[in-house]
Amino acid sequence: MSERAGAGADRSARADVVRRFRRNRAAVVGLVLVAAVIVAGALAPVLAPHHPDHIDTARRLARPLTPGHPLGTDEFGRDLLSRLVHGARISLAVGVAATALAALVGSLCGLLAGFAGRAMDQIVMRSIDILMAFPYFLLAVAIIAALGPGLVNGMVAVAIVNVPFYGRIVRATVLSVKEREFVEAARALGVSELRLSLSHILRNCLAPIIVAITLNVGGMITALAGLSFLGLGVQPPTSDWGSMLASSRQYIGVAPHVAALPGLAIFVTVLGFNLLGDGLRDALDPRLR
Amino acid sequence: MTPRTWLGSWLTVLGTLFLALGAGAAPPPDAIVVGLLAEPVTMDPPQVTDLNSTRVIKRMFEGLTAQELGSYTIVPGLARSWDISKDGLSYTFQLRPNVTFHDGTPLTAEAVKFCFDRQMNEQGPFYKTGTYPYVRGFLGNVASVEVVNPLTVQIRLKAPLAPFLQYLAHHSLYVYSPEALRKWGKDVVKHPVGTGPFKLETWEPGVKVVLARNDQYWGGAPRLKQAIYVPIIEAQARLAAIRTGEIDLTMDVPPDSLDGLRRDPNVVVAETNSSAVWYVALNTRHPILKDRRVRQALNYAVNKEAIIRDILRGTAIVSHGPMSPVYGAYYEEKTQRYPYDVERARALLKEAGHAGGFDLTFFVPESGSGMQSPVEMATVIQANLAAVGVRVKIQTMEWGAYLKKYLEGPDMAEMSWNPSIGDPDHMMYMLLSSDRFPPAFNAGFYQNPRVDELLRAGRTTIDDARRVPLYREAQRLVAEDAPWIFVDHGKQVIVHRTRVQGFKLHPNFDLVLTPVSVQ
Amino acid sequence: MARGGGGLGGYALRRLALVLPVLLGVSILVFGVMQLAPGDPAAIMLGAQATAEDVTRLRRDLGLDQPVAWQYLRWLGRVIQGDLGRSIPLGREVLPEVLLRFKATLILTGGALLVAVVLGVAAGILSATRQYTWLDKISMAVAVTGVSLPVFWTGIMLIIVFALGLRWFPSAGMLSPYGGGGLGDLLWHLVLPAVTLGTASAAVLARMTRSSVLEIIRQDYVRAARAKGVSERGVILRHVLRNAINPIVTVLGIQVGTLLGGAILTETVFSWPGLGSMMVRAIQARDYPLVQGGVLLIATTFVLVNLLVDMLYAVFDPRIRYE
Repeated sequence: MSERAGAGADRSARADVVRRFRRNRAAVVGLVLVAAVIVAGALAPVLAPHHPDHIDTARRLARPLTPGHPLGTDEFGRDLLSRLVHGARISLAVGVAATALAALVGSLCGLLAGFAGRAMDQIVMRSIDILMAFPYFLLAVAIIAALGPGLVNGMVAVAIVNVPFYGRIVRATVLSVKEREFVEAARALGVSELRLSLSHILRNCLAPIIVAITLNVGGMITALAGLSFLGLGVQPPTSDWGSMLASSRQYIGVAPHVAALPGLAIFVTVLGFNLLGDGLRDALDPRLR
Repeated sequence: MTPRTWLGSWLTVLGTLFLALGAGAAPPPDAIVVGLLAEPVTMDPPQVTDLNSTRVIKRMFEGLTAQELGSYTIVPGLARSWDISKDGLSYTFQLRPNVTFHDGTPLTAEAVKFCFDRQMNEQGPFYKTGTYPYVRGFLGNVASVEVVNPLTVQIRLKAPLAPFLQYLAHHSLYVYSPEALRKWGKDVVKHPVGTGPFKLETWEPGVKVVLARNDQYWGGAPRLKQAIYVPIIEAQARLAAIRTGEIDLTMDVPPDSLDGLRRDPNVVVAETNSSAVWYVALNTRHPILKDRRVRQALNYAVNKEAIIRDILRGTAIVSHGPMSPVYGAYYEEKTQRYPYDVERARALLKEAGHAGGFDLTFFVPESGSGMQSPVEMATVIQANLAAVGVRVKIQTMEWGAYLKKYLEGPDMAEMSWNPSIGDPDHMMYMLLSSDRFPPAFNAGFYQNPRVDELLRAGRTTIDDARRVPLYREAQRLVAEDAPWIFVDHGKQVIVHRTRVQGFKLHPNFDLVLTPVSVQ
Repeated sequence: MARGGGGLGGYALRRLALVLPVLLGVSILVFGVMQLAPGDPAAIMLGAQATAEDVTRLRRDLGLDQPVAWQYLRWLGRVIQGDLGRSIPLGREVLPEVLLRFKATLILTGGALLVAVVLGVAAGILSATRQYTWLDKISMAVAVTGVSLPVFWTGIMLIIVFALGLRWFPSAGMLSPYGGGGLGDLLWHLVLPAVTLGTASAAVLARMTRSSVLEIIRQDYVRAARAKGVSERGVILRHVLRNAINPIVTVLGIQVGTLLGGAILTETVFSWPGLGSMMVRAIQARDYPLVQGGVLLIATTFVLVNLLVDMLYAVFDPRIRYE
């Protein structure tokens, strides 16, 4: 044990995190919800009784438990269960991809600001201020106006809007870590700035970023749904939950289930990610508990 | 107390409090509240281009000619009578005497000339007070406007133009008080001063527009004391508002809600056929679509009946060509028809050498005036075409970008045309003449020399009896050539509370309030 | 780091100096993005009747045929003189128009903020003081639910239940079409939109309040106060809240931005006559002057609110040093 003390401490810290996470029942529920949605999406071709885009307008707005359509049909007579499970793939992929893009670009900005000297810090942070001062939803609408509506463009738009969020988290972490003794020591030992960033800083940034990401995925999914509400979302016949929810509002009065089901799906997923994120935060940073 | 009743009683207390503070005052008699899709953009007639503004300003302004309520028939407006010279180049109008604008100034030939010159004369002192979208179309053929005497005005044309009297009934050629324009300049957009049965009382942007009865109206004061217009953007909110009685009259409710509304004893659903047409323009220069058989095949492949029955819930009739039966004598019934026939479509595609199908990009606006349910309809068309092997990729765009794309002549794109005036020229020539290639509105570059000849002749022939056969032949040729996928002629659907009496639909989607009263 | 001026006043001045470059950046960004967007206001305004000649003429009249950089500089030049220009389709001056709409947005945002603070802080304190009880769990569950629903969805559901079903509140607008216009009328119309918009922020605040209060409640001086026999309510009000207020104010500052930005969807659902929904329409009509003016106004507010929040931070917590 003595010669591997460092690694052992590391491992036991990690075990602590896992233990704290597992003790948090809400977080486990979140993990289960997210996992369930991922599984549903992965198994979509198996779970879907029909092709998600198959139209049969004569059988539109069928109630749940209609023979052949366990959850009923939408305004085009498309099978809702099939669209929901296929939609899980798209909504998750887009939510995660948008978050990843925002986190990546934002983290790079944050690192740049934290490391590359005062001038660069000023440039990056003022750019981030500019992005933040721009009303975020309007920015997304304007970006869509420039790029044209669609799945990928919508994703890019909500990602850009979220870049400042990550930029600020990472910069703050970098600045606080830079002041700590072990970095000073490493610098005294002649370790290069670049290696520093890779070994120490990133590791210290990782926890807040992971937490931010899990909390952000849900926000991305609802933001994309908002874009669909304004008619700026995915292209038909693609079955993402946001556009399903947005178009279903026309039928709330006559076929509430068409609106309720994608709403429920979004709710469950976002809830899952939020519980998971909260749990991770509590586990990684027990002071907040 | 259960939590629910507890919450309920709190809210009741709260509600009483609001009432005490003056919320939810009861609707006064003699006033109607109209729920519009959006608030008016501008109230300067020559600058108005959207239906919401039109529906409001037509209550306050009038033209030299007018449309009879419920039809496109031209009747006297501010002009009591007119003479047309034999060569069709000179129109002399006798104005009604003793007509005053809302600001008290009199209607004169001078005022009419002032209004037209403002738009036509780029060097004129008031040209810079606005932008005039219709000037080239409606006044482009006008050579001069002359004052003969205070109540007589003469308009000279460069060439004979059949629809000219119809143009004068269009809001962009309405007459307004020159005094008001001199006073307000560019701000005339919010200070409308016309001669109509209503005048502006207040306009609270985004909240409401209140029009008040013009007691001095030459045609007799209307029965309503006030007309109040409120914008309600979201269809579900509009639906809720008409059901609860917050508004008295509205339009464009979701088609699926109509059944429920028809069962509601407090509201009336009024509908009528219109001259509107909803179509998919096909680019006749596209390497595959240039073959007429392919375009005909696409027409057979689309199940228009299903679209109308299931998506539009019966708020339209099947279209067999550009013109709807509303055009009366001008409408040609014996055109080639394209019933839903998958086999026929496949056979035609095979004949044209495209049995294996092909790919197209289908441009679709996400919304737009008169576009009905653009995305939903496109989704069905996409599925219908897939069934005959034509793989269509939908690209939706918001209206601004869409219009630009449309005017560049895309391969395949949705459009609807909602004529404000009733002349067949305003439909056929505008959309299908080769004079109107992009960036004008013949987006599919449709060109048939015989059709061009007929439409040009139709423009310059004044005599109705001689015009009818021209347009009928043109419709037969167009149907055969299938430059569009003909889809439907939308119905005009208005929902109003039963307390609204005497409301009558007008074919160009206007909401005429003159004969209306409320109980 | 320079400590020119020092103290709160100097800090405020330095921060204020940064406001202008940020606003300049915002205006360049919005101008650039709008230029990238296909379509132009002339074609949109003219619509179907237009000929190519009409479009060219209107573009010339509007100055849209000039180079982009020149258009921007001309706009900037006029802004410096306090002239935001005229909206292209509306033909009205931009400044009074956006100010009027902004007032409505501020009313809505204010209402939402009130909902957020009252519900959020109350739920947070309740949760924290009764940690691990069913009350804690329920309020936190509700809080998570609040952030997990798309705003437009909540809005439409509220209309269906409370306007159409129960008929307690109106379905749309800010004031009654008839007369009305009193404060009660406004509040009556405000309830549903404010709840719709404020729910998500209430949830965020509830969670923030809970963790701040929890952290402080365990500290020695609070225990000491309790030990001295100060009533529980007194402890919470006098000690805990005072110390927990900093992170709450910070979150509140961020939420003002979120609310201003998120108001767009709520305004569209309820036809609230605010700036957000007007901006969406302006973007779609390529109404450049209106978009520029509106965004500039929102951005200025946002920047100033953040400045104010940082100042408040200092007032509540004098330990903070400013550099």
